[in-house]
Amino acid sequence: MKKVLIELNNLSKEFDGVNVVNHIDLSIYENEFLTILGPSGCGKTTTLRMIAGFVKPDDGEIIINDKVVNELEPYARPVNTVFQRYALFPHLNVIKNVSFGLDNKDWMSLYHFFDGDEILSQIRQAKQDMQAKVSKREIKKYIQSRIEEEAKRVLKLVKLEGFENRKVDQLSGGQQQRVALARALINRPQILLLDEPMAALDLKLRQDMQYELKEMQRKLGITFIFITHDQEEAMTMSDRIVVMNEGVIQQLGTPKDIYNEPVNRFVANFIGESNIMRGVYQTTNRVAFMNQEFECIGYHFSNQEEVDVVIRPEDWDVVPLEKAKLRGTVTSSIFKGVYYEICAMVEQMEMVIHAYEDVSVGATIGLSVDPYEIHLMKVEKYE
Amino acid sequence: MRKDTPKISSISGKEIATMSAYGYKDYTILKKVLKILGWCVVISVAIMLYLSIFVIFIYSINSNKSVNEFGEVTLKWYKEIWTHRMLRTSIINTFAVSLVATLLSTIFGTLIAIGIYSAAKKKQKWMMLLNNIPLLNADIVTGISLMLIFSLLLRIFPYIFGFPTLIIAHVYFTLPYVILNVLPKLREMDPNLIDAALDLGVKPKKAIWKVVVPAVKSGILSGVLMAFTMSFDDFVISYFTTGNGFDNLSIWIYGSIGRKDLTPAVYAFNSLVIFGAMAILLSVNAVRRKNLKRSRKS
Amino acid sequence: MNKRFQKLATPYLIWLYILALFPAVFMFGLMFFNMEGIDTDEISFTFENFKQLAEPSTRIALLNSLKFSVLSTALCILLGYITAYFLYKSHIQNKFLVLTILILPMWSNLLLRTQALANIMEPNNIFTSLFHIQVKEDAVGIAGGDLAVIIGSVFTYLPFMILPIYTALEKIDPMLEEASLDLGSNEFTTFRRVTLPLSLKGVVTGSVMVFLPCMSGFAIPEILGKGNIVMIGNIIEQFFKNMNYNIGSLLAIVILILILASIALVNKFDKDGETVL
Repeated sequence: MKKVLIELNNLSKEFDGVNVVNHIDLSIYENEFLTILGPSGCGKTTTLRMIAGFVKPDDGEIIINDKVVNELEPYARPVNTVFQRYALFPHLNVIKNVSFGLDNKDWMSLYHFFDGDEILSQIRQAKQDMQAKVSKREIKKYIQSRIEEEAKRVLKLVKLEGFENRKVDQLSGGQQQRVALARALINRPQILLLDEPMAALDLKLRQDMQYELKEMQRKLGITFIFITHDQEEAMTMSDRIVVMNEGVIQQLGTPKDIYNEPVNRFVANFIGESNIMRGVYQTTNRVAFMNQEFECIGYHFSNQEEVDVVIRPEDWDVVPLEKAKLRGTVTSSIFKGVYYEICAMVEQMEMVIHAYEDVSVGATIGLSVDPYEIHLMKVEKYE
Repeated sequence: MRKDTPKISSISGKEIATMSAYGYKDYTILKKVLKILGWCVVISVAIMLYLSIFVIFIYSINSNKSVNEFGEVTLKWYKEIWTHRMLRTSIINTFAVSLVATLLSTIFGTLIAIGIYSAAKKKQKWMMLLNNIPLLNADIVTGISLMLIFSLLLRIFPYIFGFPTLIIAHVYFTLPYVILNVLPKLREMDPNLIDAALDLGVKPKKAIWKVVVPAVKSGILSGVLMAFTMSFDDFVISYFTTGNGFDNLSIWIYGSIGRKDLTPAVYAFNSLVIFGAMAILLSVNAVRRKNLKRSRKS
Repeated sequence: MNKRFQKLATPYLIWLYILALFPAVFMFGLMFFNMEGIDTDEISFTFENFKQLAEPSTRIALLNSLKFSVLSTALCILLGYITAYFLYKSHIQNKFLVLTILILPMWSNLLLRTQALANIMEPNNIFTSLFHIQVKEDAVGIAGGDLAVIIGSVFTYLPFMILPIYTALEKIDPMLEEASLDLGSNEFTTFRRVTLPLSLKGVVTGSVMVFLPCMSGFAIPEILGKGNIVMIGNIIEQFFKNMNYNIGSLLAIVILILILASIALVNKFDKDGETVL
C-alpha cells in the first residue's frame, strides 16, 4: 500500500459568494505525479494555492504528513511551487535565484536541512579532532559552501550549467522555467506544485519539457501536483488525473481510466473528442441508441434505464453498407495527418469519425462499433 | 526547551502542525505589534499632512484677526475674499496663469509625448533625461535660470516680465508632468493602433485626435491634475520670473507675511479651495469607481 | 508607432536646450565676471567671486542646508516608507484615492501652511486660545529653532517621498513575494530580500525629490527659522535681490552640481523613470 502524503479533507473556499472549491476530498500518495485538470475557473488553482498556503480554506482540512497544516505559514510547509509566469526575482542573477530558498531560510530550519550532526562531524573531520568545539561562524561558513554546491548541482540537474551569472531577463522562456524549477527543487520539497508552468512555452518546447519533467519526478521521487487545462499534457505525464469542474472533482483515475471510462458528459467532452448520445439500457449487455440495439460489455444498469452512450471518434469503423448497423451521409472530410476527420449525419445527429481512408462528401457510409468500445454513463439528474 | 503537548484538530482528530517542528519561529505576535505600530505611523503622517490645513481653516472662521487668539466663529472673511481688492487681483492672476499654463501644457505635452514615443530609443533616452531637469531641478535654480533668459529678452520685448514670463515659466515646469503621465499610457497602447488608423485612410492629424488621444485620456487627465496642482501651488519660480507688479497669490502672500498685514480672507480663500478640490477629487473618484464596477460586471 | 510623429518632439528639444541647458552655461559664464545685474556696461573679468565660497556665512549656510536636508530626508524616508508600505499592503487597490489624499494638501498655499505651522509652534497659539489652556509666562515654543525647520520640511515634502515609493511598490509583481514565502523565507526576510530591494528606486527618487527642495528652498527656513537659520537658498535669493547676479550664479551652480548628481543617481536606479511621478 502506498503511503498517503497529502489529504484534502472536505476542503472548501468561497470568493464573492461563489464556491470556487466545493467540499473536495482527495488523497495524494508519495512519489506520485498527479495532475489536476479542468477548464479555467474550475478551482484548480485555488486548490493549489491552499496546499501552498497562500489561501486559507473556509472549511475542511489540509493534512500533510499526517498533520493538519491549515494554520501553517507557507514558508514552513514542505511544499514548493513553480509559478505560472515563473516569478523569478528580477534583481538577482540565476545562481542567486536558485539558492534563494537556502540563502534565506530560518537558521534552525537550515541547520536541520543539512543535518546538524552531519555538519558537526564534517567540520571536525576537517580539523582532524573529533572533540573540537565548533563555533557558529564555522557552521555558517560550512553551510554557505554547501549551499553553493547545492545550487550548482541543481542547475546541472535542469541543464543550465554555465548560466550562473546571467540576469534572469536575459533568459528565454524555457530557460526561465528551468530556473524556476531549480529554485524550487533545491529545497528538496516533499511536494512540488506546478501551476500551468508550460502555458507560455511553444509546442515543441512544451513536449520536450513534459518528458523531462516526468523523468525528473521519477528520478527524484518527489510528489508532483501539476495543474493544467491541457488534457494532452495531463495524459502524457500523469500517474493519476483529477478532473475538476465548478469546484467539484468530477473524476479521479489513471489517464487510461479517464479516457476510456469517463463518468459523465463533462469528463467525456473535456478529455478527448467524443460522440455522446442518449440511449436506453435494455437487458444485460444490450443497449439501444439511434434506433438500433447494440451489444455492450461490462455495464450494469437497471432494465429500461436511460443512459448516456459515449463512442470515441476512433472507435467507429467505416464498413461496407451491407455489414453496417448504421448509415450516415458524409458532410465533410478533413485530412489530419495520420487520419481523416469525417463528419457524417447519422439519424439526424452529427457524428465525428476518425478513419484511415478518405471518403467523398455526400457519400453514404456504413458504420459499426465493437461491443467493448461502447461506453455507458449514468445520466446526471440536473441535466 | 518547553515541551508542548501537541494540539489536536477537532475535525479529523489529527495533530496540528507547528512552526517549530519545521525549524521556524512563530512571529504571529511580533507581526501584530508591528502592524499596529505601522498604522500608528500612517495615522500620524495623515495628521502631519493635514494639520496646517486644519489650522488654516480655524483661522478662516476666527473673528479675531490675530492668529494666536480665537474670538468667535464668523464667516465674514469669506465675504471679504470678494471685496479685498489686492487679494482678488492676485487670485484672478493665479487662476489665469494656472489655467492658461495647464491648457498649453496639456496640449503640447500630449503631442510631445507622442513625439518622444515615436522617436528612436537613443533619442528617447536623451529626451527623458532632459525632461527630468525641470522636474528635479531645485525651484530656485529653475527660477533664476528662467529669469536670466527673460532678462536677455528684455531688450527685444521691454514689457515681457509679468503675465507672459509667468506663463512660459509655468508651462516649462508643468510640461514634464503631462509628458510623464501620458508616456506610460502610450506604451500600454497597442502599437498597431495608429498604423491601422492610417492604413484605413485616416489623416495623421485626425489619427492622433481620434485614436491616440482617446487611448491615453486617463494619462492626460492625471497629467492635467498634476500640472494644475504644481502651477497653482508654485511660489519660488513665480517669485523670480514675475514683474511689473503682476502678483500671483503666493507672491502676494509672501509680501504680506513680510509686511505682517495678512488678511484672514486669504485663509478663507485657501479653505474654500481645499473644500472645492476635495469635492472635485472625491466625485471623480466616485465616478471612476462606478465605471470600474460596471466594467467588471460586463 | 509611426516614425512620422517623432518630429513632434523636436520643438521640445529646442525648448529644453534654451530654457534648461543654456541658462546653466550662462550662469557658469557669469561666475567669472563682475557687473551690475546683466548690464554689460561695466563688465570685468574676475576670479574675485570665488572668494565668496570661503566666506564663513556661505560655509555656514551650506552646512546648514546639508544638515537640515539630510535629516529631513532621512525622516521622510522612514515615515514615507512605512506609510507607503502600509497603504500598499492595505489592498486599497485604489491608487487614485491614495494620490488624492497625498496631493490635496498641495492645493493649500505652501506659504500659508508654513506660516500656520510657525504659529502653532509658538507657546501661545490658536489651540491654547481655543481650549483656554494656561501657558506659563516663560514658556518657549520651538519656532525659530532647528527642530522647527526640520518639522516644516518633513510635513511639507513628505508626499514627494510617499508617492514614488508607493508607485515602486505597486509595480512589484505580488507573485514575487509569494515565491519568496514559498521558498522558505519568512515575512521579514521576504521584505528584506525582495520587497525592499525592488522598491529601492522609489526611495532614491523620493529622496532626491525631498532633498533638493529642502536644500535649496528659502521660504521654510525664513518663516520657520525666523531669520535665525540661514540656508544657501536664502543667500542666493539675497544676492539676486541685490542684483549681484555673478555671485548668485556661482552659488546656484553649486546647487546645480548637486542636482545633476541627483538626476544621474535617479537615472541609474530607475532607468525608465517609472517612479518619478
